[in-house]
Amino acid sequence: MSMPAPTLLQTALTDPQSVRSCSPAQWDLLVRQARRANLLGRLGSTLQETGLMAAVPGAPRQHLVAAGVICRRQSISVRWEVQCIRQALARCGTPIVLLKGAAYEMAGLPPARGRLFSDVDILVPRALLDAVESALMLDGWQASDHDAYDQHYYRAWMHEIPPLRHVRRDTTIDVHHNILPAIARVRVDAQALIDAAVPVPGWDGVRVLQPVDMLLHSATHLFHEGEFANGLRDLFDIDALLRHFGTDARFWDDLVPRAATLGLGRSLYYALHTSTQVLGTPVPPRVLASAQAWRPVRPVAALMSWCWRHALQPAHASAETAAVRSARAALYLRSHWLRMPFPLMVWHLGRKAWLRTRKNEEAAMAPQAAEKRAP
Amino acid sequence: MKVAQLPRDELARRLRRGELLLELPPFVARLRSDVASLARDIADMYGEFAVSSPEAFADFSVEVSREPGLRRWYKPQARFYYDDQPSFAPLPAEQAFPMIEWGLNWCVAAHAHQYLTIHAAVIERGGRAAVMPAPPGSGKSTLCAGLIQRGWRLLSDELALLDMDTGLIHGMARPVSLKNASIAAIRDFAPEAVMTPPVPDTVKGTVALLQPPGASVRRVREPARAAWIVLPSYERGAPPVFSPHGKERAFMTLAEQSFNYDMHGARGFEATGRLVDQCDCLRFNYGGLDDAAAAFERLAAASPP
Amino acid sequence: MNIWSCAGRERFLVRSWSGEEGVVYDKLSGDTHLLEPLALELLQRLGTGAPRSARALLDDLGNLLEDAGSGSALAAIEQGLESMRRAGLVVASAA
Repeated sequence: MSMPAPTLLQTALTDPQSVRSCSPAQWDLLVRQARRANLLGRLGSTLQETGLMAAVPGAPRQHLVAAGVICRRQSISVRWEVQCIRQALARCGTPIVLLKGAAYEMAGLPPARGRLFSDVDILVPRALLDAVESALMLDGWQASDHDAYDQHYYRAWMHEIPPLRHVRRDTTIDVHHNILPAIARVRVDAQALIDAAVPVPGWDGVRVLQPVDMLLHSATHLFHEGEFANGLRDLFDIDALLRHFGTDARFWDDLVPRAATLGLGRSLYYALHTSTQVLGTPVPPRVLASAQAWRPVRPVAALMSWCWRHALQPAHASAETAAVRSARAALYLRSHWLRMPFPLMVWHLGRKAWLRTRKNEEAAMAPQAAEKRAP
Repeated sequence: MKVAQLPRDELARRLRRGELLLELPPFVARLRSDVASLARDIADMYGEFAVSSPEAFADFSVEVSREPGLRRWYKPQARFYYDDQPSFAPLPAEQAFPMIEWGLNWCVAAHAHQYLTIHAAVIERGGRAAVMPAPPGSGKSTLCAGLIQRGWRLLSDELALLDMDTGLIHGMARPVSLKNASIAAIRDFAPEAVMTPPVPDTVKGTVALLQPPGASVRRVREPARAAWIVLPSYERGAPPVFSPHGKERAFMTLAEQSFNYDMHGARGFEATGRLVDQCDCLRFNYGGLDDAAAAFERLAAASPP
Repeated sequence: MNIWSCAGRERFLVRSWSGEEGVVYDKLSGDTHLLEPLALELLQRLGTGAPRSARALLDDLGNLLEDAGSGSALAAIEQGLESMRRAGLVVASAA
């Protein structure tokens, strides 16, 4: 089973100097791959940091400039959103633990650079979920349009309440009480994550996961994932976190034991294995050796490695081979298998398929909507 | 090489293969389509525009392709694709050219954040530009289409591209979109103007595209400095009147009609402020194109150079 | 009673051409607002001077307002302050 060749995008991000030899046609493809993979901002900031922006021809450079505009604006939006959330939840008496993009931004971490954010994700103790939801709704967040099934799916089975949308700002918040669903095959002690969370300087009441937990969350999120629109981006996040935190020896000392305590060893194994293989992330050999304990039996390990390497290609037509499609299909099923017991999975997937067909029919009959506002 | 210099079958071949790179300064678009009529419309409307080699960098890769299956033959439909991703619902294949035009507008509005982009018509005379931001239905496209037949250079009927560093406005001088009654109005006003056949039953009603004046296309790489911000409003039979419009209100109109004002933060606020600084801000009520053209003539003559 | 203050000294960019209305950019939220004359006046006063009550602002504005003595002037100021508070331009604290 062969591994996919690195795409133009992957090469440009891991070896920025290589862009010096890109032809106009290659730049054309590179910009399109990067945009589709949600990495155009990162490509821009990488080239900026390595002093290569001047070497980019004028026409593609404008696309990097434009992506930079979006990223800077979103950075302001996220910070403001966190401020508004903090104010809304002040009365709940719980610290808010930020996850993912918002955490990277507020803690000033490398994955925040050139990032396109979407929702803000927070982690709160399960016991305070109702209080938090009420406080948010008092402040102008509303439940999105979800039917009774989805509401039940989220509340009973997932690790979050359905996303809430703010009426005035039109922003979305995802409130989690764990990092994996309640009915998943792996149970994570969310309180342990909350207890170990570290404060964000200058932001009272706002925390982020401690470094090892942040890395494990990112790994768990990606390697339980069923949809890969942001797969490559998420892998680059893991790479960036490992490089950044890895300058502190204690991080490497704590990583494997913490994964064992939380029951997230398998995800850590995949994260380290994939990141070193695909992106050349520097990881101390002893840590890789320890993580081998969580490698699945040999044939499964090889198959999974093949799946990840293909699924994490940029989500662009130029990189989408039959192998990539198969890998993504297999991992999609796996993600649901991980999230829920089999009978529930079949029911849920069947329902999702039916809803998607119905939505396609409705969209086909709707008149063309002219999109005035840029995304 | 210009589109007009390409043999028609070569144009059609490049279009089918997605090798037609049309220069739309400051952008280049790669076009692909299997709709036969599109080659003819492109030849008619984009004759003066240059084409690039298929190996060149394209800012936008767009496609209008016929829907597969039974709909290929019975009431054929086509759909717009941006970089291989279907965007928008499919429409009757006769609407392929308006679809490409709207699609290209969307590409610029959604992605060109190196500029502050505003939903506005921009025309220029004597080195000074009038920017006409307006919500749909204000008659700006009709007014714009009329004025460019009377000595005003066309920068754009839809998309003003403000360079926030230079303060200059760029336009693409692309075909002007006319709807319903405007089509007849422009035909009467300028019988020599070249248009596509009207396409009925689109989402916007009956639509026709007006060929941009060759002189405007040849000067497309020349941006212009804005001197007037004009909010047009059409009222049948009304006399043409310019009246002052509060600059703060004009500011808010520009911001509201901008596709990406919000994206630019403080820089957008300051650039819009500078634009308002340098312009006379006016409302314009009018009831007919002859009157309107004369009024704009007087406007251009009266203001100090 | 509320004491009103500007939501941040360096936080807002203001442009006004007529001296009556004004446009304001909030650097923290990224929002842009159009202010009508009274609101612009209030924002400028709170932006430069000390925090104060609606009544103190009324005294300050004095002869700039018609019917300064009547209750409607105070009501107009309170309304203006409240809508600016919702927009995030000013904050109120209990005296």
